[in-house]
Amino acid sequence: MAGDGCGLGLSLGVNLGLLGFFKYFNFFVESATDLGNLLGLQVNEHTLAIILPVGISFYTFQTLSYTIDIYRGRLEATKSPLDFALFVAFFPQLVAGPIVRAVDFLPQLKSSRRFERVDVRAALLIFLFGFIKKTCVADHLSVAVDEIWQNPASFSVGSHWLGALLYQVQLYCDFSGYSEMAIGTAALLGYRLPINFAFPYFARSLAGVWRRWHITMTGWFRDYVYIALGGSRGGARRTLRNILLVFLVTGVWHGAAWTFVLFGLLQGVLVVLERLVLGSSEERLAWPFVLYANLVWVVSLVLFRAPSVPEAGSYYLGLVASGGPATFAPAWLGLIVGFFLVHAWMRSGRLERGLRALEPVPFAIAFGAIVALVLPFAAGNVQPFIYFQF
Amino acid sequence: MRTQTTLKSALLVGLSCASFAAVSFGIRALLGPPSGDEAAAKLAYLEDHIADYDTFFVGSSVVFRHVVPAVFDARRAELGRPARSFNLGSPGMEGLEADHTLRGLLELLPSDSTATVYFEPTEPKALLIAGQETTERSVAWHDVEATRLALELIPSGELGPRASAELAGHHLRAFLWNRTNYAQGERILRRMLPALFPHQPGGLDSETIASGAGYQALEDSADPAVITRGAAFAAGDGGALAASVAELRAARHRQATARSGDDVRERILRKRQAAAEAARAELVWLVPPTLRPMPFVRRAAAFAPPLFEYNAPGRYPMYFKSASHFDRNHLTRAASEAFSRRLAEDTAL
Repeated sequence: MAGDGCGLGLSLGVNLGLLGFFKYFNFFVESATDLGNLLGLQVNEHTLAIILPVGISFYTFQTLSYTIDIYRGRLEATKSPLDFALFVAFFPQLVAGPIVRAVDFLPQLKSSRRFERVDVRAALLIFLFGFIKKTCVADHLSVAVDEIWQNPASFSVGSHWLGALLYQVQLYCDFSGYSEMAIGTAALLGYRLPINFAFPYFARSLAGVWRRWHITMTGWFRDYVYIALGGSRGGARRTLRNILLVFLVTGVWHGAAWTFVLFGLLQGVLVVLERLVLGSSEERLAWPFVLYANLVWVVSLVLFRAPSVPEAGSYYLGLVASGGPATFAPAWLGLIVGFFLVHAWMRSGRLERGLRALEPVPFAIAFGAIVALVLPFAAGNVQPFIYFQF
Repeated sequence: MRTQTTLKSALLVGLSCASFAAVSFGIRALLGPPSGDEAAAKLAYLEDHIADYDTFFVGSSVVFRHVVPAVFDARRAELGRPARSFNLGSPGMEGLEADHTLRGLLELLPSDSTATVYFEPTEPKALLIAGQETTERSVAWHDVEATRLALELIPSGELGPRASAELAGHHLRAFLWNRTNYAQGERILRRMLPALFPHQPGGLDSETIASGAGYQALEDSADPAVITRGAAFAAGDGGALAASVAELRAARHRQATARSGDDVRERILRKRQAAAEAARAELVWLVPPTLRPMPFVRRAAAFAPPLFEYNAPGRYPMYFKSASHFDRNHLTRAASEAFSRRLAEDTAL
């Protein structure tokens, strides 16, 4: 019921309690133990063998959006437990998003699904593009990225940079690939899911990257955390504090590790600094700022990829000085350039528009042929999606 | 209206599948079937040189490392029974994979062939090595025939329904990867842009194959794992050999028990023998010196002699001494040459 504070409190308590227990319990215990030992106290560690339910961060947020939107009067509570269950456990996006809000999804359940209304061409194409990103790019790059992260000290400075750049491409293709396959699968079933990526590597600021990266998550934090904290209504200082807090929470949402805490904090600090120096309007910035935004993003992703803070520190040192002799083949650099060219081409939308404009028969023939041409370039080493761990 | 939509959709799906199949077929016609290991490289070599040989050895690493064609041929010439032999052995090539290579060889033999094919009759099994279900090599041998046989050989009674379904899934996945050219992009690029790929992928190059007629001594291998294994054995792992020989002696006295799938295995052997006859080749079972008891050989030999069997420590003690071994499972170059001479003498009779 709208405005029911008790119901909201209960929902927040249960949902965040479950998330906290499954995802953060051991992290807090280990951190407290480490702190105690650092202060000279004799603290015994008591962690639990907790198996993290797949996708818990995603469906917890979906459930929270349902109760908060009802509390805010933007949504009526559904009377069908089945509809609610479908909303929470809708299989295409259950484990790694996009994070769907009840206000967007539940109304879709009121109308019947009719295959005639499904834009099959659009659905198949978005699925195929996602599949290509994941299997033909991300999974191939994972081999090189894992190789350098296995023993970064044995690699040269240039290879450290190349490794960081490759990870940037891998992460984007892995995660946006999953999102697009989820959107395509849902569309084939007659459901609309929100887009999750909008070519983030053409942003001209770090804040711009975040506006285009994992859009459903950043939108969630904007609407339910940033605005709840007062947003930009309390003056410049309060706005900057809120930005910092939202990014900190964003980092923690990704995982129970100090690397993610620092990642979030770093993003917050950089976005705040960027706002102070460059202002908040990305449109005013010239195109070379694309390079700046990518550079900052690539460097900060080292924390995202690193297994631990000390290893992130070593990698950062390796970006400046490394005695490691091993080098990556320069061909990888060509691959990154190729990726950005393809990225730019996809952004123009010409390919998608051209294929969607085909009549059904030529489209069916072209689609079958494209799939046959794509499959040989898929990686044989099938890798789990990176965001499954969250 | 609904029927019309369904029919139209079915037609479009059919068109898409046909287009997919046509392009996949075209790519395969350009590239050839997927290739996996030494045996594939050797078969590719034989495509142009099959007429140079009349005797072939097909099997696992104990064939690859223990049969020296040059020595075999020389001894046979001395005995007045000349042969031009080729070693088609490959590490770990057993069961259905070896059967796949045998079929490939029989298809290559010219119609006027009078070849002899020595085949190591390892037991055809459906089980795959965990983690290697869809390696390039596994995908390579999953053609229609091998996949059908693998599915027939799944021991459902022993595995239970879930594990059986998983195993069937692995075989079907490898088969689909094989048919759709999945993950074969590197071969396409090699064909299109050979300048970018100066080295052959893994395995043996054609010069090495030609110089040894398919044989390569372990002492000549540049594989670090092989070098380490040899050094470890020389440094004192020989004790394990004695224990393995004792196990082999005991196992050889045990009778082979009937198992599910035996009918399929026997059918495979009969079929290969018929295929060999159709190709005018003589199929001979060969068990080189090995520490495996190979109970399946008893079944193979029961209906299809001749059989040459050397995994008998009592009869051939010289192949089971530490001094004759490079590592636990394989002979040194000198011992392999001695064995090849022996094999030439036995088969010349």
